[in-house]
Amino acid sequence: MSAAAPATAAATAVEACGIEKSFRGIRALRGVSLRVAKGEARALVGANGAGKSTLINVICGAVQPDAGSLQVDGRTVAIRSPRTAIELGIATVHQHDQLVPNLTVAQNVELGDERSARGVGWLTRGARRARAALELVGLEGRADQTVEGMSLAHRQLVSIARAVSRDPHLLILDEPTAALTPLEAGYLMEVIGRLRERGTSLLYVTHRLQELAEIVDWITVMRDGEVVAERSPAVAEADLVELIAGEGVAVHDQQLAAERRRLAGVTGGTKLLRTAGLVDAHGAFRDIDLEVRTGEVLGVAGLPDSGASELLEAIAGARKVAAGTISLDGRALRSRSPRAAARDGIGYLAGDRARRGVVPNSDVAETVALSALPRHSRGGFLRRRQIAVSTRRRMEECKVDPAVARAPITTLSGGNQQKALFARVLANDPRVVVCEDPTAGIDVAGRESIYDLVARLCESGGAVIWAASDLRELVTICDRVVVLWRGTVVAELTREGLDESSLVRAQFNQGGEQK
Amino acid sequence: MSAVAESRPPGLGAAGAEDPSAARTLRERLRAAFGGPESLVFVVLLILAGALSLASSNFATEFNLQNVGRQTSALAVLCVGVLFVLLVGGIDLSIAGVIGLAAVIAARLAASMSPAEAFLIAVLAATAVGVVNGGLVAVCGLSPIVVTLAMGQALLGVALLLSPNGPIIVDNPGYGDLAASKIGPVPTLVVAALVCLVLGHLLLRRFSLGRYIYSVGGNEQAAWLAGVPTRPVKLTAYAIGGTFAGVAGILLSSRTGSGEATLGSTIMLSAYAAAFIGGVGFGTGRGTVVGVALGAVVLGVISNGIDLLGLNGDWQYIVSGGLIIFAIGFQRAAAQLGWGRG
Ligand SMILES: Nc1ncnc2c1ncn2[C@@H]1O[C@H](COP(=O)(O)OP(=O)(O)OP(=O)(O)O)[C@@H](O)[C@H]1O
Ligand SMILES: [Mg+2]
Repeated sequence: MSAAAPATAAATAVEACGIEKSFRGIRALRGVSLRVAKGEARALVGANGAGKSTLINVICGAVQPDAGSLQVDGRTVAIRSPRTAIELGIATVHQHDQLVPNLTVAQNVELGDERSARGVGWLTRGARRARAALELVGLEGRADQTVEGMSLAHRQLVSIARAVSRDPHLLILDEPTAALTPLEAGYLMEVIGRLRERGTSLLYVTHRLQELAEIVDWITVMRDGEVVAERSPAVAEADLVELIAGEGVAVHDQQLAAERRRLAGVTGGTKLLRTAGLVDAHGAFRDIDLEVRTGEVLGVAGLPDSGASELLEAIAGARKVAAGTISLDGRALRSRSPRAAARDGIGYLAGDRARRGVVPNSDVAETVALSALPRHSRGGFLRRRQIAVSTRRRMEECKVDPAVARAPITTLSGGNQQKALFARVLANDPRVVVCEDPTAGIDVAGRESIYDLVARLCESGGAVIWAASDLRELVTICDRVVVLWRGTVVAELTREGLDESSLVRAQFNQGGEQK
Repeated sequence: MSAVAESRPPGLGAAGAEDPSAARTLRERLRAAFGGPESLVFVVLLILAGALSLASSNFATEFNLQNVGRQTSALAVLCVGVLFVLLVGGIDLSIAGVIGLAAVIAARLAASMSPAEAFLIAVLAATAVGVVNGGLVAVCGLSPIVVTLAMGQALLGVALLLSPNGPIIVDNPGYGDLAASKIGPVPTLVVAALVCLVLGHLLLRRFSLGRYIYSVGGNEQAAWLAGVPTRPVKLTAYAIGGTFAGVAGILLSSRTGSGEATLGSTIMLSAYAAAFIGGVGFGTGRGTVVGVALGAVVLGVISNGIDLLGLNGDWQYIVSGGLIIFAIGFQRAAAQLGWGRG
């Protein structure tokens, strides 16, 4: 994967010139120009709301630009709908998965692909191409399962399989790894490698900057709707972060968040939350004994089917358990529902932002205030002033721009939606935060502020149960990580033995400290 | 990442992590074949038929079964049209009007041309109504309930104006043949209905149009991004809905031997009842031709049974209303049992 050689630099896969796009007065793109050469892999990075997804939507025909032009293979084209883009050989995996829930995995992969149908549209049996693509991402066993109820990571892989099955000239991936564990990310890297050998160009959006070096040839940095820099992947991470944020951001990467808290003498308090013999009503996990102390961040890791996200759901009262108890401060929690859990001081942030986080018809302020409404009302009557004050404070803490308070939540960029959801959890002043991939899609600066908020919660005697697919993040933030495999805890790693490779091994129940 | 690739144990991909044993795939296959709402309706139908054969010696006779078939055929055809519209997340309340219009047009034209030609023109008119409905909903983005309600109202007026002297009695002797004749022991009406059912089934299952229809109902935005031409697909669904309503209209009209503007007034609700009994979801993109056909037959058997038992015919509406709630309640319970990701 050498950098684009001068000979190929002449040929253009796709080029956007002076693209402008405004949404009700907000200028999301201010004359953006971007070129991806044939066979080149280009990364697109930038802070939340920089306009990356909007630019991608323009290229894939989902959004019509106000001004500017697009060229594909050297010809100027008007991409009026996603279909046009697909016909031009542009395949896109969107930031929020775009699958049809009532169709099977294989049907979703074939959807919209004329080559799976003959003549008048008679569907051919077999669907070999779909299966081959699913094999690439390790999902061939699920081809006939409906997409409904599949984990976010698996749905993401299905989207990738669909894009790949179309033999695109240009593959666009908008944060494809946000929900993937290293295993699945490994699949993705293999797929990308294979496509690149065939000369497919790649446009890749991510906030995990450390991924870039092994994938891309060039990095384009966007800020506030403009392209501000182009760099080679050899650029130092700190410089890249500064380019993205536009100012000096304090990235305390050298000092792990967990270490910082330990130095401050926060961890190792009294017992706060305990589960004993927890068994899921639907068999997703069994015999879970956990203990979280005040000031502690407990990590939970596992493959998508390990039961990790179901366990978090159960602790947060969103899932029935068949047996076992959950106790807070030594008191067993009786009535179990998310609402009861919230009253007890457990805040929950589900992993699947688009489907289980955002309430689509509400605005940002309503989103942030939703969980805390019982605290701010008397007899059901809302105290609006109090809500406004508290909401505003939470939004500032979580780096949500107060100017968007009245904007519909769905018009925010993916990362900014996630920040608002984190603010919603904090707005209820929880003692224990139970969260799954809480920083998914959030830029470097936003992630730092969330780490700080977590530190503050721990300092004030709270605790966090944090499940993440991004193992590097678990290593950064957690004091202790339990690893689930097929529904049981197979390993517990404390600070001393905590690093990415032992977490990966433990996820497959290989080695690690058996429990 | 290379560490990851090395550490991937053989056969333990993301998919295999859960234990893909042979027994489970068999179970999954059985569930795929019999786990849907259709099997529930089928069981209900068997129980009903069994109970009626016990209760009345007249039920399981050739004559009576032919009768049930004749009574149910128009409903079954109408249901298929309703299914297409429900699958794209819409609703068509104009079908009562379409039925009346098709019947009146066919009856008027039968005076001056062959019944076959009259039927064809009537059905084309119904298709045109469907296209207009679809255009207003899919292209102009109007609410389907409002558009089709208004359309149904307007069509009723048109049909009444076309039959100023009340129902048109057709004296062309070939007109009633469709309803009266048989192919072997099977009434022609039943054959016609079966042809429509098979056609609907093939369209939904074997053509990309069908896949597109399901995808639009499941998640329109996602389908659009995947390259599905969502607007034409929706428009086509409404056009098909109108066409099948037109066919149902001429089947009914042939049975009564007349063209009556209000011919479709009660059958529309029955069609939606049959669809919901047959497991069609409202705005979920779920449902099959098999399901709605079974739903239609269940309703046909119920009304036949009420006749045979000598009850007041109006009981059928109460029974079918109760059955809808039972059916969706049962489906909900089944869905809850399968809750979770396991
Ligand atoms: N449909 C819309 N309506 C209104 N505003 C929108 C819409 N889509 C995007 N925006 C705005 O455009 C800007 C750019 O958003 P975009 O989604 O492109 O950001 P992004 O770079 O992808 O960020 P992230 O990293 O968080 O995904 C944001 O300010 C967002 O609020
Ligand atoms: Mg984005």
